[in-house]
Amino acid sequence: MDGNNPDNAGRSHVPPISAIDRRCFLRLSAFFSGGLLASGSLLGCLQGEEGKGQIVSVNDDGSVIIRAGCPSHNCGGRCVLKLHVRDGEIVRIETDDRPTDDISDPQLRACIRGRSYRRRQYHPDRLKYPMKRVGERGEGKFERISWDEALEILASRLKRVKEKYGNSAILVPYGTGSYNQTNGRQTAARLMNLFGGSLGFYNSYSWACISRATPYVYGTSVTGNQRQDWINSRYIIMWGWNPAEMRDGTNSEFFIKKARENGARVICIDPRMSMSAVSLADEWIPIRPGTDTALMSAMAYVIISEDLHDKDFINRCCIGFDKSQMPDGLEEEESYIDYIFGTKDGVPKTPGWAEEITGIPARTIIRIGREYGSIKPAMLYQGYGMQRRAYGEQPVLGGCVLAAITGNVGISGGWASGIALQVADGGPLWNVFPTGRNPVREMIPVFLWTEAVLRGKEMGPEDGVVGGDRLQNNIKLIWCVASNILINQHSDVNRSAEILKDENLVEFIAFQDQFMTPSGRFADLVLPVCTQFEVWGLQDGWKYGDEVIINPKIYDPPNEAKSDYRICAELSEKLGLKDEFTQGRDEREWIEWAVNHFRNTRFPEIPSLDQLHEKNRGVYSVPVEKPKVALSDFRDDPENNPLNTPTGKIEIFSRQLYDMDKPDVIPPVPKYIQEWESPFGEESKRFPLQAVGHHYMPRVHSIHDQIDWLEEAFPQRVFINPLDASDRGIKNGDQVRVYNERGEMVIPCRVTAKIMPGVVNIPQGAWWTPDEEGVDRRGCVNVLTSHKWTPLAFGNAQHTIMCQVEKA
Amino acid sequence: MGKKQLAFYFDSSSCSGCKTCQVACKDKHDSGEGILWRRVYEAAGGDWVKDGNAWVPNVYSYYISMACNHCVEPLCLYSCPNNAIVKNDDGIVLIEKDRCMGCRYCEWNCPYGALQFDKSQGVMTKCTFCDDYLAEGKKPSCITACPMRVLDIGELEELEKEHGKSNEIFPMPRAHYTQPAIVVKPHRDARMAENVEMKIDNLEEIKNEQ
Amino acid sequence: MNSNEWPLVFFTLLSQMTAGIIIISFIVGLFVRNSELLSDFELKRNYFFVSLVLMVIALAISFFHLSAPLQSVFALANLQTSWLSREIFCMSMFTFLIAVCCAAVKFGIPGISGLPYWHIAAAFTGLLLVWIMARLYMIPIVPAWNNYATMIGFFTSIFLLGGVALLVILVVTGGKSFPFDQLKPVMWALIVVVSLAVVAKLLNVFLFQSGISFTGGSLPPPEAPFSWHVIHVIFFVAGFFLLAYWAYSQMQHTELYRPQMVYLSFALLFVSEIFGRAIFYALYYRLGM
Ligand SMILES: Nc1nc2c(c(=O)[nH]1)N[C@H]1C(S)=C(S)[C@@H](COP(=O)(O)OP(=O)(O)OC[C@H]3O[C@@H](n4cnc5c(=O)[nH]c(N)nc54)[C@H](O)[C@@H]3O)O[C@H]1N2
Ligand SMILES: Nc1nc2c(c(=O)[nH]1)N[C@H]1C(S)=C(S)[C@@H](COP(=O)(O)OP(=O)(O)OC[C@H]3O[C@@H](n4cnc5c(=O)[nH]c(N)nc54)[C@H](O)[C@@H]3O)O[C@H]1N2
Ligand code: SF4
Ligand code: SF4
Ligand code: SF4
Ligand code: SF4
Ligand code: SF4
Ligand SMILES: [Mo]
Repeated sequence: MDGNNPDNAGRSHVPPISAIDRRCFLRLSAFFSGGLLASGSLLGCLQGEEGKGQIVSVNDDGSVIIRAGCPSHNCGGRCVLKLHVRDGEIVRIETDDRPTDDISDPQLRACIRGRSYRRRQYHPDRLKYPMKRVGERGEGKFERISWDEALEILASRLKRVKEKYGNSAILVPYGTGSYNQTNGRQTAARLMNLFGGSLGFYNSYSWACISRATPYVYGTSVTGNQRQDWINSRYIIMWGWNPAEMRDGTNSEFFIKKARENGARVICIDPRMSMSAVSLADEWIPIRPGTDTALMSAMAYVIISEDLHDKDFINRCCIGFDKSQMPDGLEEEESYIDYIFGTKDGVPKTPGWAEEITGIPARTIIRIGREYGSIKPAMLYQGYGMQRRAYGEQPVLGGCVLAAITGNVGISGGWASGIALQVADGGPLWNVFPTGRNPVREMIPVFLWTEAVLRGKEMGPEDGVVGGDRLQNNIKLIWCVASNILINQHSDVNRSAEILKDENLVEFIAFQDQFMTPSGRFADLVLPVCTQFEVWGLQDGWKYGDEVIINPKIYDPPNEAKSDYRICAELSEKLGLKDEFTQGRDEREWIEWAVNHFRNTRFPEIPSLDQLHEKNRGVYSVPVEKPKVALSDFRDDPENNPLNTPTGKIEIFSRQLYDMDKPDVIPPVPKYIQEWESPFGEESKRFPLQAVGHHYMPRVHSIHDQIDWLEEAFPQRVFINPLDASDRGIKNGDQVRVYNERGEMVIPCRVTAKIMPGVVNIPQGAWWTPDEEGVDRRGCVNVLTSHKWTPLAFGNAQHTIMCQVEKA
Repeated sequence: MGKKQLAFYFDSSSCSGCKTCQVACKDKHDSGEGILWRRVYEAAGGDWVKDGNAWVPNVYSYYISMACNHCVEPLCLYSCPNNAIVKNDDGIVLIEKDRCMGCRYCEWNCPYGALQFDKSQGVMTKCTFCDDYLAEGKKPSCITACPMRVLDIGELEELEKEHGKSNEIFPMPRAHYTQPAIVVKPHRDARMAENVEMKIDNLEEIKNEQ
Repeated sequence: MNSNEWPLVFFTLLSQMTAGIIIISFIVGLFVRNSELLSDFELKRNYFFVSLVLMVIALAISFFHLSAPLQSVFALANLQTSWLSREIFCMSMFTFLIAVCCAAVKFGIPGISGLPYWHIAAAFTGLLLVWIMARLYMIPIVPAWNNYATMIGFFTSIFLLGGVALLVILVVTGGKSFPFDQLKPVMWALIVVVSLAVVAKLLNVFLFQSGISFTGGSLPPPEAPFSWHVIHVIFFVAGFFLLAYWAYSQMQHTELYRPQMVYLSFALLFVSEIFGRAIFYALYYRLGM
């Protein structure tokens, strides 16, 4: 790092020192109080007493520029914001302006949400003080109380539940609101672990199937090359992947653009003509949702029957491809090729067969099969939307197998598919804030928390419970931190609402957030949290990235808001755990700790927090000149670098899956399985349309739903094809009713040819806003979704929905 | 021409329609609700054909991010009774707020939807090319915001020399009305101005008050 | 149509009606010059004063439709290229000339008894004004306006509204004992003017306006509410036939003199014109985006 502050690089807007002198007096008091202490090295007057400081450049209008990470929600990216701060207020937000922007270390340019952040930061609805419930649970009526009373209530409730039931009756639910270390659910998790633990969970709402299924093939989740390698690819399939909108790592869309400039052909397989299909792809191939494995199988049919598969690679590195490769004792079982050619089931998976299922013309299937089979190297990148579905494991396995049989594994420009965490050092560490060990050993699959409320004690391995035979308790206390999963983001909102309303089930719900979300309405106790601009923080990449981003505290939290860490620290005092919890550190000292942690793990060269802060670049990054390629050692020498699978090879046929003995839903080779709600099933008579709820540009899940600039740019609505609309007498912009047996909403529609006939799309994350009849007026897709889980990963299948639409 | 004329460059072929440029502009200029100095149009056309069991899409689409084009022949300027619209030495067309009486006549005359009436102030507003940033040697806010790096600025003549003259991509009008200072690299699906098969798919996002 | 265009509907209609009153009264005046009828009935005084009041209302509407009216001091700054600047200039001249006419009548400013110079000037300015008004809307990028239907439409409004308005003024001035025989030529002239306007209007609607195409733009073709079209046509037909019936019955002496019918007919035609004009604004549609 050259330590060159780009803002001091001879630009005229850096005023002469004398001008700063004058302003210092006027402006700085606000910053000192907020912890922004400036350094003496360049701008003398900005020096703070403790020498912990920052080079601050001052604009002509007296605003100070501070570079900081965009508050790290679960947004898919990690970017740098350039904050203009005047009189203790953020008056403008720009983005990373590091002078070089090359592909080895590109600028981390913010998206529309980061650029709108002032509207969230200064939103009038921010929670201001602690409150307790006064009406019925779920009614949303609260009354202001003091912090002391609030923490007293929470502490006593925690103690009571612990005594009465035990720690495993406590849940700090999945919640992805903050990854900046000192804000977010990890702080509560640490405290609970010191308190004796809480019910554990594994999996995520994001990646349940892909993270569970990938290792069955590869023995690891680290199957992704560093992204800089993408430009070496000649053919890229964006399979249900929409990086232009969902930010799968800041700059992923930019890297695809670069790959295209380098000659790659890009196709996009998605039921919607997504923003990526328009801007990154050469061709859009619409597919009927939930039928990807049929397409994959037919492509395999084309590849194998036209002899395009990489026989050498398959022989050296894979098992289960054909009869000759079957595991010992299972020689007579159905190999991959048996499935593809229908040797056992009598159904060859031809392009014609797949046409009927996927809605894609056979000739197109043949063409893309040939292309993927013959253009080398090729990337098949799988999005996560198609695995957030019934049998979502199958397309994951199918994608990995296609990559394997075409020999695209372990080579530059290729891509092994699967979850594809970043190779080299394994990619980002996410939260490094130490949560400690959970004394409660039992864990549930994250998606099954409502089951654990209703029948925890009955749950065992058949429900995905690990770490013990049965759960010891039903969930009795929920402490919801940085999460909207109680209502909005979990399936079947109406069902969750019924469950949470019942005070005999969950006896106490605490809610810790910045806004009164639909989940918050079900709380007994509401604790206001500061934003990530109001506390020290640190983040690294979302999925990829070789950088650490710091979030200096810009100023003190307004009103009575506190950081999650501070709340937990004060609560720890009431629980008699203060020293263990804080270890004597405040938030900034934890961030120092975190920087040291990064130094000891990923980035040995990373400077100290003081130095990072002083440089005011917002980010420490390590340029990637020679991108690493995942699984290349294995490919070069599979004997000496075996994979972590039972056979040490790529398992196209998995004995582990075979041994589960549920061939209809967990086949040992990837298969197309008709979804439990499908256009081919009985249910389609009443609910003929398939609905997806994609991750929407203006929101991070439910975050930002109330932001005017974002609503103006991308309003909430249901997208519907003109053919389906005209069948129903619906015109563009009409209010429409979308419903199925689980719920109902009324929202405006957009009639557009950019979605496949038979499919509608209700972008996920809108805030559930029921009217008196319980009809959602905002368009929360989870009023329609089912809480049924996937067979192998016990994952959420929230994209599998059948529904009906009519004019409201 | 000869005279200096600053211009936008916009590579529509890789614009994702993410609207970061739009919001970057709003944030920089604190523009109020409904005011979009830069807007992103979603052009779309085509339909679906059922072919046996398959659906064959004949659908095409692309995005056009558009501010004011600081036209060589600014009809807005010609139409304003108050001389509240001026063109400066860099070719930038600016509105002098203190001279504007809010008659909105210029709005009818601009074929790019660039003029955005600010109800709270009662005056017409539009893109300033971030002339304050230019004076500081910086590029405009929208330009440095773009995650796809598809926006840039330059001298009109030079941009045209480099990329060719291309300024009539649907939904833009024919260029002869105002001679816009912009060069657009067309998307593969691009149609020319006044194409009758295409439409703007995202009218509700444009807030075109017509 | 934008809500901020409603004032423009009234502003344009009122000023066009005024131009009509001034122009037609001048023409009619030429007819009946020697009979001195007009001055007998103080018509002159009336129509000049009515015109002045109408113009003041029209100006007030246009002024308050501005959101920063104080800045209108600059409104004449761009006579070189701005049709709006020219309109405002012409409008001011027109109003000024009407005011002079009023003063001339009231204070007997010399010249009025002989050749009505001020009236000529006002009538000419009125014509010019309506022409400029039409040009203002003939914007190259607005296909629905940029054609002669706009020009014809505006001029028809002059003669339709101006003619009926004068008739109303005549009837009001005539009072209960309307001297029908004496005013017969004036009435005839006005009825003919109105009838010609009606014919012109029909031709405009069917020959010109129906041929306007909305293709080539990217915005959805504009639509005015169907009810507006209905009101526009029905009120127009009703107003005109009522007037025709009244005129016929007066000529034939078959019926009593019934001024209410003229008022009603005026009201119907005026409302019809309001909706006609509202439709005009609603059809704004520009090429481009
Ligand atoms: N803007 C934005 N970006 C985000 C997030 C956000 O909330 N907003 N959230 C982040 C998080 S936490 C996550 S986990 C990721 C999620 O990333 P993804 O899960 O990949 O995102 P989705 O939008 O759910 O799905 C991606 C695409 O899959 C398509 N799709 C749906 N069903 C099918 C199918 O059956 N087959 C195929 N081929 N395609 C299908 C959808 O139309 C969509 O375009 O996004 C991250 N990025
Ligand atoms: N139907 C459907 N449902 C889905 C998905 C889908 O694709 N379809 N996607 C799923 C996926 S992938 C995910 S990851 C989940 C996400 O589900 P959640 O993790 O519940 O995500 P958010 O809606 O972002 O909720 C985060 C909450 O944290 C709050 N918050 C933000 N910053 C802070 C902070 O610093 N401190 C505290 N205490 N709170 C903060 C926000 O205000 C917000 O209420 O949703 C899942 N739900
Ligand atoms: S991608 Fe995420 S981190 Fe980056 S600007 Fe957007 S919201 Fe912020
Ligand atoms: S920021 Fe760039 S990619 Fe996004 S809409 Fe604007 S021009 Fe297009
Ligand atoms: S784009 Fe419109 S507002 Fe901008 S200079 Fe051209 S005519 Fe004027
Ligand atoms: S609104 Fe303002 S800038 Fe536009 S024409 Fe009227 S006075 Fe001129
Ligand atoms: S140049 Fe400046 S004013 Fe114009 S659109 Fe871009 S950010 Fe807005
Ligand atoms: Mo996620």
